[in-house]
Amino acid sequence: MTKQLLKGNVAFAEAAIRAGCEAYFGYPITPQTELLEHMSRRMIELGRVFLQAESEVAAVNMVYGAAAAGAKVMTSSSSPGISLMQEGFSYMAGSNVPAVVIDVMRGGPGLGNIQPSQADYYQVTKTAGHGDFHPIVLAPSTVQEAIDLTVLAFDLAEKYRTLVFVIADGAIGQMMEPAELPEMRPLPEKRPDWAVTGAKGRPHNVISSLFMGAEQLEQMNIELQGKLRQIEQSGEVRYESLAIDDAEIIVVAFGTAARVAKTAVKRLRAEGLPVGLFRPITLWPFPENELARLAERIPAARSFIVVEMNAGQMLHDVREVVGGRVPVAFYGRMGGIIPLPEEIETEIRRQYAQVARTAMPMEARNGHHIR
Amino acid sequence: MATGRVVIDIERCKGCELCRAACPQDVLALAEELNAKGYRPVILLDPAHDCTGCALCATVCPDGCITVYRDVVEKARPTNGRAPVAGRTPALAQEVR
Amino acid sequence: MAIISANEFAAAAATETRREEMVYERPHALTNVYTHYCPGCTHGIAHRLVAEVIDELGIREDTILVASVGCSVFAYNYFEVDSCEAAHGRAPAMATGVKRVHPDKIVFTYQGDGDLASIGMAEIMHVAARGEKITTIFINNAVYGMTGGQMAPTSLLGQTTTSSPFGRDLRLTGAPIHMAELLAQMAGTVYAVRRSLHDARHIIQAKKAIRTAFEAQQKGLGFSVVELLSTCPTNWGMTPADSLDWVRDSMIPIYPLGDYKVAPELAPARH
Repeated sequence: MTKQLLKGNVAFAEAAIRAGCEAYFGYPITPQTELLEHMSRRMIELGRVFLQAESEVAAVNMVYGAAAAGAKVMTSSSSPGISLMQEGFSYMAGSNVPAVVIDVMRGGPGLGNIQPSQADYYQVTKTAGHGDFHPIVLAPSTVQEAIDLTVLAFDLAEKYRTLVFVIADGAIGQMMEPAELPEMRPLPEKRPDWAVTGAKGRPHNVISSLFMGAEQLEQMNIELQGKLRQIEQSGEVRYESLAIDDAEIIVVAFGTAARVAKTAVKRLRAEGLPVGLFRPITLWPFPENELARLAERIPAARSFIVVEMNAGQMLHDVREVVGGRVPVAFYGRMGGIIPLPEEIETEIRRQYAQVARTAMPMEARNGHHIR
Repeated sequence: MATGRVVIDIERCKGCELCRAACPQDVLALAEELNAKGYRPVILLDPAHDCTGCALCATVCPDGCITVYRDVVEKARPTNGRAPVAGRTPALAQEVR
Repeated sequence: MAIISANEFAAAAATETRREEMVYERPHALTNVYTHYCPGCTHGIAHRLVAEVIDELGIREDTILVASVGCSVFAYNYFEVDSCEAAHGRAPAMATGVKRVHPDKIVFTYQGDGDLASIGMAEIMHVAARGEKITTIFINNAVYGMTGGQMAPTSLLGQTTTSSPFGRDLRLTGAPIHMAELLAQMAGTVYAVRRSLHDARHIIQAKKAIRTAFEAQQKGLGFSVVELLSTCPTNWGMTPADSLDWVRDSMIPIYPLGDYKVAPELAPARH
């Protein structure tokens, strides 16, 4: 295969098709609509299921039905649409059915705008629906990674019978980059044993998230949590690190923010400033052990700076892991603004100057700057 | 007049008495004893064998507790022993039409 | 009065064979589970009729139920068919997902009035608009059963419920919604009828309608729906028998029974 110039949203869609997506249900919403449009043509051409639903609420429940029926299924949306879909996510988590969700985030709250944002980190990693569960959350920072992580999302969904989100923002959805698509995979020949396929020669299968007895529901939750612990401990954690080994300042960022931070880190390194970048690729499971190790094992590490396109959400996951050992500062832009490399450079310089004064108490060094 | 009988799954019965209201022969009664769920189930009380096996009781039963049998009298025919048409619904539909 | 001798009686009896035939038994498409429905609730009748139709059509192993939220939330425990349990109002959307993946299966939803006509209005109208090849069994008992007797979109004007304690007031909460008529308006609907479960004759007519609705799906014609006027003795505060009378006397005048849409492909076989 050779590289071709691909728009992020189209790359998500085509990658899903090549990963074996059999059914897609969605509803138009900017900035991910090209994804749905690509599906509307390609899925029909391939004789697969495409349906533009009457709402995100309907779309996610169609996904739930198709997943219950044993198909590899996907939907995509953007922040307000994801809010509407949360009902379905919770039911799918409660009944252990796999599905892939692409969330091309936009600015909020409310109708917000259609600019790139990371303000739904909490929504996706922590509160994807009512009840105790986490979807697996993958965060690409390039179009190539959007492709690779979409394919991975289908594999993880099937392996763990779970929801897998790939979250991006409008920048990744809308940008065009050279990228390579994988080969087309054959579609599965048989349905999983647990799916509803007609009770032919076996007791009837039930896909349900309803467990009326408290003991029964606790048991179901114990099993669900067991599965989540298994995911955490099965080497599914993914991250990228850059210039970490001797870094005194470590920038932590994901997605588009990490992309910009990478430019800032490279520039400052060229100047000789000891700065590195840590980029979580799995936002859940969060690479907490790896981050903790950075704080413990790199003697030089004196400060972390979390950079996000929100008011500081992943920040709290970072603080939970390294807080108390090393100060964790924050720099963020909101409202759909992508920070410039220069802004991040300024923040790194300021933090570097502060931690040089070692007598300063920890609290004073936990800077929090949003503009 | 056709004759028949009904068998009632008394543990499934909730004693709603819809069958009693539907029964044209008045051969269903509430039992004195309670079932395991605490309901007084319906029983067949038919000393005179008035039940016709019409299946109206089963038609209205919300809990599917009632199995209905109808007596079939076949005159002995040495040459042709044709069996009566079996199957539950045709007979039921015919009777209540 | 002729006196028959013992010998003559014995001789006559010898020419007869007495045996029994079963004329009704519990359908095989129902599980052996005891339902949670209140005594006299006609949900049980509707379940039984659907199961009888599944048996008669020989489709048990090819049928998939999408249960809804409301009193029939446990329907998946009661039908011996593959089943899923949808979110409140979303059964038609979930059934769409199932049917699109398994176009060769018979997929049906079983929904109450709160589920279908209130929270699930968008989903039901759109399966009808798309002509989704599924069947919907719609139980209209004019009240929210599971949550304890609140006003439903199908509650009658003046009907007292736990959330309309002064009676449903047209000026406050509008008028009852007529789903069979509404769904009949949608292009993708091939069969939309209203039946009642208040006596044996109507129950038999209801079963015929359910059968036609499933046959419409088997023929791949489009969306089919049977609205069944049903009782809720507990929340209506009536005996089961009085509830049947209330359906006849109070509900049917507001919700006329009838065929609101029958595709030509279905009409000839039914009479």
